[in-house]
Amino acid sequence: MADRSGKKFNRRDFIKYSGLAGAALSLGGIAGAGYLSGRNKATHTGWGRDAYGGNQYFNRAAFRVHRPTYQKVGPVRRITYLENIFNRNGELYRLMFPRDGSSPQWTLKQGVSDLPGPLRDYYQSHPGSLQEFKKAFRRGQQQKKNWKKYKTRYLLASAWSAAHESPLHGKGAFPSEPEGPPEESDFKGITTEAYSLKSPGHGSRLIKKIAHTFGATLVGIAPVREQWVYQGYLRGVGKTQFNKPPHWKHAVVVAIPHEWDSLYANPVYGTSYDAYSMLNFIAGKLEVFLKHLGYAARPHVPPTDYDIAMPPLAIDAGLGEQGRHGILITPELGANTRLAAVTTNMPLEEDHPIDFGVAEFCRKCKICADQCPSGAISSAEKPPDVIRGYRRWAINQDKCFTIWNTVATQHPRGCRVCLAVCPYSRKNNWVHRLAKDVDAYDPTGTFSSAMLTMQKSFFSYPGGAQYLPPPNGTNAVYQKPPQWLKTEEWFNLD
Amino acid sequence: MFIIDLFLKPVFWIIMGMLYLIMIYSARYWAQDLNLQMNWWKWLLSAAWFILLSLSLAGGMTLIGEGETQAGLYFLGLFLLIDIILGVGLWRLITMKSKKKRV
Repeated sequence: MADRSGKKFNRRDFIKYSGLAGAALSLGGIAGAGYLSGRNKATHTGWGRDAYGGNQYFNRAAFRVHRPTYQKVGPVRRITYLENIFNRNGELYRLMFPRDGSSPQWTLKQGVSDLPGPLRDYYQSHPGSLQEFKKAFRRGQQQKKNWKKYKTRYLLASAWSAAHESPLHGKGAFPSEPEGPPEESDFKGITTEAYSLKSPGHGSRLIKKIAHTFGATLVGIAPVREQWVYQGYLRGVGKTQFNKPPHWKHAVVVAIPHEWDSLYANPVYGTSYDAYSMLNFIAGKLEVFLKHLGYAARPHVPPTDYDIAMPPLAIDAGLGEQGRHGILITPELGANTRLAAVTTNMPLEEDHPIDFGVAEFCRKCKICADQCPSGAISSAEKPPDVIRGYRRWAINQDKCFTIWNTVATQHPRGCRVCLAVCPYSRKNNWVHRLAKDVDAYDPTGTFSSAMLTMQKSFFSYPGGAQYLPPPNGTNAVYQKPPQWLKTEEWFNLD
Repeated sequence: MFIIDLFLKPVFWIIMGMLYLIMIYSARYWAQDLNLQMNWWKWLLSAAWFILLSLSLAGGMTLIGEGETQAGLYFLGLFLLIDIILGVGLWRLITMKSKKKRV
């Protein structure tokens, strides 16, 4: 064969130019494969669902440590009832709006000294906290007024959130609230004598498998340490001082992520209730399952039905480590990790805590602190506070809650910007998994520094105040909302 | 989707494999015709460069695919620049010795 100039185009040339074309086509192919990998919904963290635990893929054995990564620096004590912002806010609301319709026992015009005993003591020892509550309350009133303006735009997001919230409260809630002390309520519904397990290891493997079939992305087993049990209030009993019940031997800790698209469109399109309702179902089913085998069980579920603090329990269960934003970071889900637990007396083999370098990463990163619209997350080099005997990251709960009451939602529905912007929360596609895995195995921290430089230079973030409604912000969201949460895509709005 | 998972995905990677085979097969002819004195480590460096180029494209396009267009473009810009610099360096390394031999 000859070309136009008469030069022969032989087999050798054919192979050469085919190889050149092959190289070009393979580059095109790999670029296309990369693009599709980025779009693939199976790479949404935790949502490439495998019913039997395939999403808990991280090799934790390589990162096991004997001591958990929280740092004990002094005498420890349990978290008291009023140290939980929802409990103390609830107490204030009940004073302002008594359930029996009687006149208020406290109003916003009054000060700390006008509060009853324990509340007064708390706010006196936490200067500025009550002022922040008053600010949050006023912002909440403004939020209700603003909703008229934003209702149409965020109608679907609000309806979606309300649907997820619906099974969490009231008489039809599942799991139901415990009634009576744990020594009674945790044993209610047991249908048989406790079956004897072949070994605690068999118990752990079985319960993990079952939890995965119920929808848990991550499962770990932890001992129930007294210091993580709340003090001053026990569900089923009420306000009381109590010791850890002896049958709370182990906690089965389960974790799932938020729905991906809505998480990335925080704060106004996201909700916490999607993960909360699923966790309630998973933990509730585990309770029933354990009781059918003859063992005591008590679920501890979000939003507020806990008798134990979840993050340290999950750290003990080897699921992850605490991040700068105070939230658990897991290798698989990043900060997009929501937790529940079931305490039980079933003999179980406990997991080991892990250290995959979160403390050092968070020291350098600070993206969540920069993006937090409330300024509740510390930018310090090291955790500045000692909380109940542990030096650890802790957010300013009051400031955080003020922003819940400020963003353009129907009512305080949270913010979750810190979950979405955390570099560990990125998709589970090959790029981010490679980065996370290499970082975990790099003891020098050089790789994470390089990755963080790229993260901060390449990726764009709206910036703290932008997440707020006008005049302070623009109702910005971290990423574009999905089509299915945009009202204008589905309804005639004229 | 059934058709994509069962048929198109494997077919895509089979085609990619064939493209790589043709490319590898033709490489020695290119080397001979360009008078490149190739040895094992030059082939190794060339393969590493091509893999880096492929990963750069795939990485940038993955970020674009997940909606991080700006990050994807920056990624492509940075790594393609690195690929070009390394490619020029590699070409000089490969041709330098062959020129010497020709003299």
